[in-house]
Amino acid sequence: MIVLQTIGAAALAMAIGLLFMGIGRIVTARLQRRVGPPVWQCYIDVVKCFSRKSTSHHFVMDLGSIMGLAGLVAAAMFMPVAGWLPLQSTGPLLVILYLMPIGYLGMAMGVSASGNPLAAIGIGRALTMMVGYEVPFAILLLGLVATFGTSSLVALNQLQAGGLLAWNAVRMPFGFVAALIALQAMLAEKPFDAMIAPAEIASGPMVELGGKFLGLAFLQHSVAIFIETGLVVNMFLGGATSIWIFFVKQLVLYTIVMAFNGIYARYRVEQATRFLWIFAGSLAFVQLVINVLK
Amino acid sequence: MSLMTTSMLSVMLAGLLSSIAFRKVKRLQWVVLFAAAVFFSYVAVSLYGKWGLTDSLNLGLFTASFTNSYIGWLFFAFSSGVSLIISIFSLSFNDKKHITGVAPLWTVLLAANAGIFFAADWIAFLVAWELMGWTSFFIISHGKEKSFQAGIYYFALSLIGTAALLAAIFTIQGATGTFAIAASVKALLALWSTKPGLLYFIAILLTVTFFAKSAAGPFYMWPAKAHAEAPDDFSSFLSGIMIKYGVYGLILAVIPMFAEPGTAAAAGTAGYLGAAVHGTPLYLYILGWVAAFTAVWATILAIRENDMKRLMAYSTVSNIGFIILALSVNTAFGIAAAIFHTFNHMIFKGGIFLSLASVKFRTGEREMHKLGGMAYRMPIAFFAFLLGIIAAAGIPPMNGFASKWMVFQALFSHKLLFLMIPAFFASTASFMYLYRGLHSIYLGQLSPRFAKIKPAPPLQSIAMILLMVAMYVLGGWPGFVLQPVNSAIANAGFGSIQVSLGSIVGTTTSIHLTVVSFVFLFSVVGVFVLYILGKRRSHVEAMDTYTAGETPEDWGVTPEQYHYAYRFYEPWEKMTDPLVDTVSFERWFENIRHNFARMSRSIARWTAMKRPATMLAASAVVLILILGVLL
Repeated sequence: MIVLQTIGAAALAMAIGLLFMGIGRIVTARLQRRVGPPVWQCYIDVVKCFSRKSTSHHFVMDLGSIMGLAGLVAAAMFMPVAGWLPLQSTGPLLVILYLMPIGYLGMAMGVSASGNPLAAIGIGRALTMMVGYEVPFAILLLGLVATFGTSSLVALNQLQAGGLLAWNAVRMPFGFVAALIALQAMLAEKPFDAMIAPAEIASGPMVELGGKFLGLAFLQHSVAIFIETGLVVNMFLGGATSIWIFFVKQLVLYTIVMAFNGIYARYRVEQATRFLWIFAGSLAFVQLVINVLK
Repeated sequence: MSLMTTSMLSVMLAGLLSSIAFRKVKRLQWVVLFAAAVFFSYVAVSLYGKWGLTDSLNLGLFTASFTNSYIGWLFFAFSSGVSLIISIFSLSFNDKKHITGVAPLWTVLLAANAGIFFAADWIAFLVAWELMGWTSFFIISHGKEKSFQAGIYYFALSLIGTAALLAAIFTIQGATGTFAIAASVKALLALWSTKPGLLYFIAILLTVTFFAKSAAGPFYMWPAKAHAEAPDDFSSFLSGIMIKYGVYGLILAVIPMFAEPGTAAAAGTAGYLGAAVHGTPLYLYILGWVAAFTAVWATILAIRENDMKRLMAYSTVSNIGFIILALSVNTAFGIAAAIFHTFNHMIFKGGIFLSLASVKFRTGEREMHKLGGMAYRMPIAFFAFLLGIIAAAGIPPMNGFASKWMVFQALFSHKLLFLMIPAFFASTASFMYLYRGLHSIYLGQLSPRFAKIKPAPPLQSIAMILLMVAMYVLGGWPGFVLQPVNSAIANAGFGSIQVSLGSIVGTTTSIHLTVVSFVFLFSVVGVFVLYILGKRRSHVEAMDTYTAGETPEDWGVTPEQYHYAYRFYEPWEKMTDPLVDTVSFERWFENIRHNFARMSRSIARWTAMKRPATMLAASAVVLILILGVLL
């Protein structure tokens, strides 16, 4: 039973992420006055990727790709979706925040093994940016601990029960704005997409990936979308009482991210990191000071 | 005389004898080292459970006494176990081409290691401390001019530490009338109401000693020199074990000085009465900030480093910052977190340095941009490094995660939230330098120069595999170490925490690490199935990559040029340049050294001594010693 539940949760995370990616493509297309692909385009892409021949440079590349998706799937197992968890846990935020990097490390290791310098440049940028958004995000976590004395997502959900005014987004507006900025960077959307930068470093980490490796990367991104939007929903938008409301809240967040993605140009990586520290960081810090003083 | 003193004396004697007897056949000296490590591991096993066993050694003027305290035993047992693994590695590392003559000194150092952890009075502690300082100085120097420069730097900082330790010991003796460590600390606690100034003075002196040894605070720069220039297998010992003596010293003497009245450690009404921040004594709170900035500063410097051993040395300093940060919280949870992270660091940093030593053993290179692609030739060294950096980054399912999680929870327990911002920064930014090592040394393009190198020899591989197993097991089942640690801190009067074999109860939430470990494992299995379902892959060479329609060879690019490693984080370097240029304790020490050198040169004219500055500092220590005895 528990095995079925976990497999189901993993499949759900991927399916929702891919659906959001499809919607995000439509949002971008409409902003550019195009029609855009159908919503299910991303499912087609993944199936196609897995059914094509691919090349690998070394077994480390295979291992890295597997580790990349596995780390994020493992993180998804600890994220409560409207209070529901595939495994018995309290939704420990620190565990999720530290399980996700093993996915990114796996991805980084895989593409490094390909030997393409563009991939390594992309990963270098991604890690620099990570310091940019993880620090504000961690300060937000501290702000929540200062007020509620817990870092469990399930407990945070319960503490926000009781309507819109109980949501942390309303009670901690500075923190919520910081979270939105950090989310934009976490999902590597413009203006924080220096790590991918298609015109500059040929999609960076993805440059050598083809066939099922690209498929795994696609799935990894979809799970990342699911977890990262889910984190913000759980931390600031009061979680949800039913699964469907949870998905809608996630979708709203993702649409906002994609809308900004559609209208902004790209920051250079040091500009982006500085921006994240100065704006997201100081907003989160202000929130932390307010929460500590209250 | 019991096993404690006899084992130390016999190992010391064996080390000295081996230096004379096996002068011609140096390889046998390494066998002696291995035997000493095995013997000490046996001693550790046989001393288990015999807490409070005491023993003394008559040194003529003084009597050095030893005791088997639970915490000391834990440190001893762990350091002996890791030493044993490193000595297995060394047996293979010191072949005809790479052999160094440091084994006898190292054997003596193992005895000093035991002496530090068993010391029951300050005399024994000082003797063992000095023995450790001198032997390690000679090992780091190992007869090479560049290493000697690094060694002398290390030695000068050690001297500062020893001078402070001596001053502290005599002040403590003057204040309490006893040399026994536990009794004197207890006696000091009673003085908080009458002589707080004196206690702060002692605390500062001891902190300087232990920070100098552990490279915390302003002493952050010596590991980058000493760890990098030491013999490669010794770097592992230096970074894994020796740097922890300062942590042990802090737990032994400094933290108990700040026990609050009414707690078990304080025994009765005596105890710390001064100011506190969120329930943490002000002095320790300041130490916490020093530790946090050590972690941040070492991280920033590590990211800029191109030499693999220097990079990992800075990483060690950063981890020491985390350990002292946890200690500074001054709760049972914080001390348990610090001890656990200390042991975890012994294991994973030992593994990382052994892996680097293996690479250097095969290639002779230390600068990362000259390497690359080692994973394709040395898979076991690669996996040791990979698991090591996963642990060092504090990512599940390796052991570093459990202890880093505990450090954060310890800070949560006293709401030291602002102190956590630098900690989070250091923790996240550590991914940057760890990945840089992984990419530049082990992945990327394999240079044709190293196309034919062989994997690590069997004994080296065995040592690395043992450490990898330890990393994984402690990541999923931290109770193997945490339960004894819990008993040890309870035994020492620090209180206790809630742990079981697989789970830890923290402040803001609890965690079941076995579950985390298995979830990750099953995810890997699940994704592997997905991977198998995809269409087969074919293998292509690493130079056959996407280059916008041309092949790299067409532009005359070789694999070495195609390996992106030099100035890997250029944007980051640009960002941190102004900061690194303005803040430099190294320059500050350099100024002191310069003035010392000027002063000593004028003296050197009369006596024509070699290395005047060090001799001057050494004679200053002797002078203080004489003054102390006379007074």
